[in-house]
Amino acid sequence: MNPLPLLEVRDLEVAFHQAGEIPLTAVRGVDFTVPPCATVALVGESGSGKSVTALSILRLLPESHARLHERSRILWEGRNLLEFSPQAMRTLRRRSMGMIFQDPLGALNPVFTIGMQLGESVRRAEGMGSARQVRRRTLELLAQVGIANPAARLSAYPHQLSGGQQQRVMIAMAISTHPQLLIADEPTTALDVTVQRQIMTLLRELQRELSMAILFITHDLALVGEIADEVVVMRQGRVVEQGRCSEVLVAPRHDYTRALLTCRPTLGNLPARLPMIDDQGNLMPARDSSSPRTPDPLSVALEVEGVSKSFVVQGSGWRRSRFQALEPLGFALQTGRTLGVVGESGSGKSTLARMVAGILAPDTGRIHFPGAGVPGRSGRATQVQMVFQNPFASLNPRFTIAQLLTEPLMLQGLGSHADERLALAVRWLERVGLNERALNRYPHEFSGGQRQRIAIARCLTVNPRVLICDESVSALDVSVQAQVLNLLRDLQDELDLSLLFISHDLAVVRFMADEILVLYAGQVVERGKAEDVYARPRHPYTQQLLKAIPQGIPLSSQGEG
Amino acid sequence: MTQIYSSRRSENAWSLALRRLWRDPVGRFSLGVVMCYLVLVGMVLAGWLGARWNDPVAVNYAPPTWCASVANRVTLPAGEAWDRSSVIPLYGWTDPLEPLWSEARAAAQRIQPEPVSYRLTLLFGADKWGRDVGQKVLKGTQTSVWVGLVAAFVATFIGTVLGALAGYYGRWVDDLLNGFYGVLTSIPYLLLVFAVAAVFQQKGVGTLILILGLTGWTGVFRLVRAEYLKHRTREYVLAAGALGASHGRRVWVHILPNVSHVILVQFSQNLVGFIKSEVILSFLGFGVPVSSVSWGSMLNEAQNELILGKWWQLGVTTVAMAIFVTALSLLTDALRDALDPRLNS
Repeated sequence: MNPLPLLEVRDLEVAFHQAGEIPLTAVRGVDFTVPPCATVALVGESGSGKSVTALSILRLLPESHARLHERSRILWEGRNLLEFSPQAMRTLRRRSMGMIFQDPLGALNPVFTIGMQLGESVRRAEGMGSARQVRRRTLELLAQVGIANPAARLSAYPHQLSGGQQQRVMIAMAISTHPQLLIADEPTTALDVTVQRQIMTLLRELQRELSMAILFITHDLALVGEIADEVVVMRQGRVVEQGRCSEVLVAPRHDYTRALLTCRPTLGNLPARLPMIDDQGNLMPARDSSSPRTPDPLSVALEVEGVSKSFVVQGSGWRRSRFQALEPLGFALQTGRTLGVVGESGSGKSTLARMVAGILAPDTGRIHFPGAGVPGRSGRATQVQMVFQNPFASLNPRFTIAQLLTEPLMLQGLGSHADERLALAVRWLERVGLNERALNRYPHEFSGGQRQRIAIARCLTVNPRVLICDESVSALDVSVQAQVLNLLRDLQDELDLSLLFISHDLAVVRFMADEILVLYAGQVVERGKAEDVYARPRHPYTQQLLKAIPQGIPLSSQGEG
Repeated sequence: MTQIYSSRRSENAWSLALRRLWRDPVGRFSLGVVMCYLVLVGMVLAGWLGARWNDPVAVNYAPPTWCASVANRVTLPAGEAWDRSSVIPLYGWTDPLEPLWSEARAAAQRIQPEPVSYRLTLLFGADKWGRDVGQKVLKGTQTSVWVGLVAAFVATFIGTVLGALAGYYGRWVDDLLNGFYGVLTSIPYLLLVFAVAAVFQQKGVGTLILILGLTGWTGVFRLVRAEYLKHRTREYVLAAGALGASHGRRVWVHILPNVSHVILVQFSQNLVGFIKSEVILSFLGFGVPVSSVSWGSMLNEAQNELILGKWWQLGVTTVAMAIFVTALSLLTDALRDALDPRLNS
C-alpha cells in the first residue's frame, strides 16, 4: 500500500456568510482520507454537508459566500490544495480530477453534439491537434463507457440520448483526462433502478481498468455496498462514523448508521412498522403494530375498467402524432388494502394516478367508486385524494397551513362555519404529528417530511376512501421516509383507507402493498399478490427490476451472505 | 414526534421581499425617491401645491434668480386714466348711449386698478407667459406620473387577465389571444398610438391613459401567459384541482399570488415606459390639451424657447423627469432581485 494517500481532508470546516444573516456552518471538522485506487463513499441525508465537502475539494464553492476555516487543510499527494494558485488549481482539476453530477442533462450543453463536447475535453486533456486522433480517442472513450454504436452517437445532441446514456457520456468526459480521482456526486439518483445498476457496474469496471480513486457521494447506504471500500457517514456537517465498508455496513457502531440501515425497508425484512430516527439522530425502535387488519374482502373501494390514455405530441411542423401513455387496463382495489404500482419513468404510472384522481380524463374506460353515489366531478374529491411526489411543490407557497387545510373543507361544503373547519384542520394536523402552532405558518418554514405530512393531512380532511400516493416518499430522506410510511400504515389501519401506492422503489412498495401491478411502457406486464410477485417473478422485466435493487451488502461479504 | 419550529415570527413572501429590498442600499434609496415623488403628486392632486401654475406672476422669460443680477420686481403702471377729450366729436348729436357710458365711467372711477406687480426673476425662471416654471413643473409632474400610474394599472390589468386565460386554458383560447397579440405587436408602436388617438378624436388626460393602457399591455400578457403555462401543471395546482377547486379558483386564488411578483415588476417597468411615452406623445402634440401641463408639453414649449436662449424650462423639466425615471428604473431592478424566488434560499 502506498504510504502517501492521494487525498487527505483534515479538519474541514466551511461556513456560508450572507450579508445581514448569521453565518451558516455547513461542514464542521470533517476528516477523511482517500487512498489511491480506492473508492470512498460519502454518505448522508440532505443537509449533511456531503456535497459541500466535495465542492471544497474541487475548490468550486462560491468564494464570495463560502469561507473555509484557517485550520482546514485539503492535501493532494501531501500538498495543501487550499494554497494552490487559481491557475495551478485549474491545471490540477483538468489533469487529475474528474467530476460527474446528478443531472447529466444539466451538465451537458444542449446546443452542441456529444462528439463536439467530448472531442473538446479530449483535445484539452491530450493536447492533440489532429482531428482524426481526437475522433479516434472520442470513439474509444464512448466504447469504453458502453455506448452502443459510438460512431452514430457522435452527431447526437444530449436530449436525443436517454438518461443513462447521458450519464455515460458524462463519465466519458470525466475519464478523458485519465484522472487519479473521480468525484461522483449522486450520479445515479435521477436514474431508474435498472439503469442505476448498469452505471454502478460501469463505474466499478472503469475503476479497475483505469486504476483511479473514486469519491462517491450518495444518500443511499444500500448503494455504498455495491462500490465502496471505505465509507464516511455524515450528519449535519459532522462525520458520525467511518471505516471499512465491510465493517460499517455489517456491524455499524453508531446509532445513526444503524438507523440509516434499518429504517429503509428491504425485500427480506418486512416489519409492520419501520424504525425511525429522532431529531438527535438516535434510533427509535419500531412500534409493534396493533391488531392485524381483517378487511372485508367483499367491499371494493375503487374499480378501474379498461382505462387508457394517449397524449398528442408535437411532430415536426404542423404534424401531430399521438403517444399511447397507457394501454387499456383494469383492476379493483378493496377497502383497506394497498395496491402497489411499480414502474420506471415513462411507464405510465403517474398518468394512471392522475386519471384516478380526476386530474386527467381517460380516453376510454371507466373509473368507478362502488359504495358511493354517481361520482360527479366534485363528488370525486371526497372519494379519492392524492399525495404528490414533491412536498415542496404540492403546497401553495402563498397559503398558510390553516388556509391549506381548510380550503378543501370549504370547497366540499364540510363544516358549517370557519371555526368548525379550523377545528377539523387542527384535529388532522395533530393526527399527522404536528400541532396548532403550525396553523399560521407558511409551507417554507417546514422540513420536507413535515410538509409531506401536511399534504397527507390536507387529503384526509375530506375523508376520502382511496388515497393515491404517487412517489410520495421518493423525494424524502430515508429517516423521514420511514416516518411517512409508518404514518400511512397507521392511518390505513385507523380509517380503513385504500391505498394506491405508486413508486419506482420496489422495496418501499413491497413494504406497503398487498397486491402489485408492474407497468412497463404503458402496459401491465405482471400482477398478483405482493409476496408471489416478489418471490416468483414471471415476467423477465420484473425479474430484471428485482435483480437491480441494491442489496446493501458489501462486495467482499456478498459470497459469504 | 417532536417538532422544531423556527422561533421567528411567520412571514409571508411579501414581507420577506420587502425586507430584502430594504437591505439593498440601491433599493432603499430609489424607493425613498419614488415615494417622495408620489407624496408630491398626492399633494398636487389635493391642491396644496402647484395650484397656481397657470397665473402669470413674472415678466415673460424671467430668468432664474440665481443667474440674474437685476432688481427682483417691476411694477407696471396701472391702466391709463379716462380722458374725455379723446372721445370722438359727435357734431351736435347726442350719444344715445351716454347714460350707459356715464354709468360705466362712474363704476370705473370707483375701482382703482391695483398696480400689477411682476417679478423679474423667479427661483426656476418663467415661461413665455410669465408663468412660474417651478409651479408648472409641480403640476406637470403630477399629470405625467398620474397618467403613467393609471395607464400602467389599465395595461397590467388587461395583460394579466388575458395572459392568465391564455396560459391557463391553452388550446383555442391561447391561439386566439396569441393571434390578437401577434397582430397588435406587428403594428409599429407610434403608428398604433396615433391610430388609437385618431379614433378617440379628443385630447385629454383620460384619452392619454386609454391610449397607453390599450396599447401597452402586450409585454405583461406575454410574461403572465408564460408564468401560467408553467404553473398550471405544478403539483399545488393539480392538488387544488383534485381537492375540488374550480378553474376560476385555481387561476385567481392559487396561481395569481404565485406570479404576482412578475406582475409587479412588469407594472413598474410599464410605469417607466408610459411616463416616457406620455412625454413623447405630448411632444408630438397628441398629449395633454393646452389647458393642462405635463412634462411632455413643457418640453414641447421648451424647444422654441431654447432657440431664444431660454433654457430653464427645459432644464428644470429634464432634471425632474430624469430623477424620477432613473429612481423608478433602479427600483424596478431592485424589486426584481428582491422578489425573484430563484434567489430565495
